[in-house]
Amino acid sequence: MKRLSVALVSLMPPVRSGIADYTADLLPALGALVDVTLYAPAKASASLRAAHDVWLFQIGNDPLHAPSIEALRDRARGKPAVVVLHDFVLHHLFAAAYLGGGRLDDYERELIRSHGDRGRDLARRARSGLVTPVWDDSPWDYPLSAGVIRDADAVVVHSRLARGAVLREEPLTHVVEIPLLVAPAPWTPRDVARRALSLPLDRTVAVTLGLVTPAKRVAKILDALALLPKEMRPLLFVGGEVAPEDPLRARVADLGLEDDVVIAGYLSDEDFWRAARAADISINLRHPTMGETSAAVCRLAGIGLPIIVSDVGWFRELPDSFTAKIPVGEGETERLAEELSRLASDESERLTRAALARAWGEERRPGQVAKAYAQVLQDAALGLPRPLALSGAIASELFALGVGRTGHLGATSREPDARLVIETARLAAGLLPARPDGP
Amino acid sequence: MARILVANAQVPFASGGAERHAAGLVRELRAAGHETELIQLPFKWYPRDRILTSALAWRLLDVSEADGKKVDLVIPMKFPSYLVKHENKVVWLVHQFRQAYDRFGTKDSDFDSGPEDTRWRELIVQTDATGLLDAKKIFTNAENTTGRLARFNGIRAETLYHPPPLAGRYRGEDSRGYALVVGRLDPWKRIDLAIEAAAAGKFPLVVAGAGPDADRLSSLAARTKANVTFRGAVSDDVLLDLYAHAGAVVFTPLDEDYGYVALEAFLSRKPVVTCTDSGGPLEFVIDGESGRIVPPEAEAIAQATCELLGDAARAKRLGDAGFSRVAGISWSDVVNALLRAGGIS
Repeated sequence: MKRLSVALVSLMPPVRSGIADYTADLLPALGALVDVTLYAPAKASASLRAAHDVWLFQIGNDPLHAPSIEALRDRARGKPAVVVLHDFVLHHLFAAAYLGGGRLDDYERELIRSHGDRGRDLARRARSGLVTPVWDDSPWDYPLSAGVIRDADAVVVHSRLARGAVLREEPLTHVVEIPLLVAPAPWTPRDVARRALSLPLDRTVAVTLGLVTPAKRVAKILDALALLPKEMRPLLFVGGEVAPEDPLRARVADLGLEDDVVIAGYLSDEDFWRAARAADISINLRHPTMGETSAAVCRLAGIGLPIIVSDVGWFRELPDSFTAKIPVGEGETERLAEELSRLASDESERLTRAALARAWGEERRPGQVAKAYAQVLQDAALGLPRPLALSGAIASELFALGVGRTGHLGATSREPDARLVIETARLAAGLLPARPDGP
Repeated sequence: MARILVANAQVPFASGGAERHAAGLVRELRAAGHETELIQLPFKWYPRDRILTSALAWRLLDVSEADGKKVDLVIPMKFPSYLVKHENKVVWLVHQFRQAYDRFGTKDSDFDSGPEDTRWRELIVQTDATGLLDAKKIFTNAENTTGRLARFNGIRAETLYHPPPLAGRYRGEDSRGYALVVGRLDPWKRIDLAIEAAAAGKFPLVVAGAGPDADRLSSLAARTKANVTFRGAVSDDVLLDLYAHAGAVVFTPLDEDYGYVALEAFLSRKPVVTCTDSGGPLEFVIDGESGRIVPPEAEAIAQATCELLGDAARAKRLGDAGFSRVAGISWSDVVNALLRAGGIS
């Protein structure tokens, strides 16, 4: 049987981007199953002239992906496209690429495509100079991703959260959840790693790794440490670039944590994994979230680290067996202190969680993930149809049953509505005339 | 003569009180001279979306006419059959989808209280509102069902009792000293409570019925050394005999909708031992007058049952009082009420 020819449009290293790293990890395993030709986003439009069975776009909330989105939108594309949506909210991408680049017409078109009249109003305000940074203030009200979702023949996401969000925007989307892959990480013996980073061998070490931003809530970790008696504190290793104006260092001094915190600054890839291997616990707080999954968290769990995260977004979907989830807001510092103290003092609990985390990572190795990709690509190449639009009669009866309305009992998930619409459309497909504009 | 459709959702290969209830209604409407048919669609509740596609299937039916002749009245009974559309619809509600209501988020339901199942629940609530509120009138089979409908859906209904399947054939004879349990062997019928009571009170217990809980219940009886005779599924004649010679009937389900057993016991002039949380039977049993209402605990059930088995005169007095309570429940009242609501004289 002829192997599938896939055009993979993605950032790649040396571009510093999570998606670039992801693609680099996926590529060898995917290449073993299908023929892959790699295109940078800047070459996305040109790639459409090549002969492939299916296009695979890796897209995240970064203006570097704007050319990929424009190629995806190309009506002349003619070949099926699968979009991997690494972030559900894409507004930063459009704000930076279009609004920031003076391309107001393009920005307006995207707003209208995704948000109709609400989007038109926002565009009007932008044109009159009243630019509101909704991408920061209320990203989930204006995710600006519906147009991209509609342009795709299938959408791949990495979480249930994102799947629900996609279906809420576009209920008839063929959306597939493929867990974020957990690539094997470089191995260094723990003691060697600690010596290399000048960390003590006999103390519990917690790490928080990656670029330090307010959303990573490192200040909260410091506050939590300060709540613990000195002898109960694990050593905190902060490995990631800290902006010069960030008051983090001053806070360490103010809280009297000089003996308990190491701020290492930017880490090379090698040092990043050295720090991870040196650690007993990984702390990865995040708030607010754009619906993103974290490759770093997956890999840190995959090497067998108990994880502490914020109880928000995708992070909630991590198994409780090895993840402690800290609610954001009231009581956050206290809960975090409690969890740190428990993990710092209970080696057996740490080891249990570590083993469970490692096992979880094993199930998400690139080979497993690539198989799931190959299936989605094959389906798309074969023209797996989106469910047909519902006939008016069925749509109005579904509406009478409450499908498509805002829940009145405080429910937040709209996934059941979307599943029902899709299921009903599938059942009705071929039996009843489709209405082009759907329900 | 009217043309009437009785609509019922059905789980293929499963048959219980609700099926007998629908068949009884068809029989009685025909006996009253009306051309009547039972229409059924299979109901499947898993995966979740099947619940609402089943509802949608009912909704999309056209039952306004049959073979060019008008259908005068439609009487749906069970979720989701009452989603059927008809200009003259009178609902006689037997079952809502209880996993999404009183059992939601409990161990008796596979619906958890997370956002997705909460949304499914909302859709079911909305579906019920859609199907029920376009009926001319809503009756239910029991006060318990009426209360639940008011509590969870804010929908008012009128209770319409009907007699049990063998009405007219039940008889009371002298006690042979055993307590009787009748019912499908399902966990929520809590027959284990009666067996534990038989062990604690050392009284003979006869269990008539079959079901998925049979193995567990027989091991329980063996383990507790209770004097239990399992009769399995029995014929109508055997059932009538068992009722006729029982000293008392033990009926301890958890929140039963209606429950024929209490009525059958009373029509056989036997007192009923039931529990404070048993639902339907509490509409008929009056503690100390026609039976005993005790907490759902084996010791309490044992004590109440032993007292009745040990005092035949009192048991007869209570059984007679029960008979007086339910003797007036008749099919003719049911048929008249449904037809009157449907504007059919």
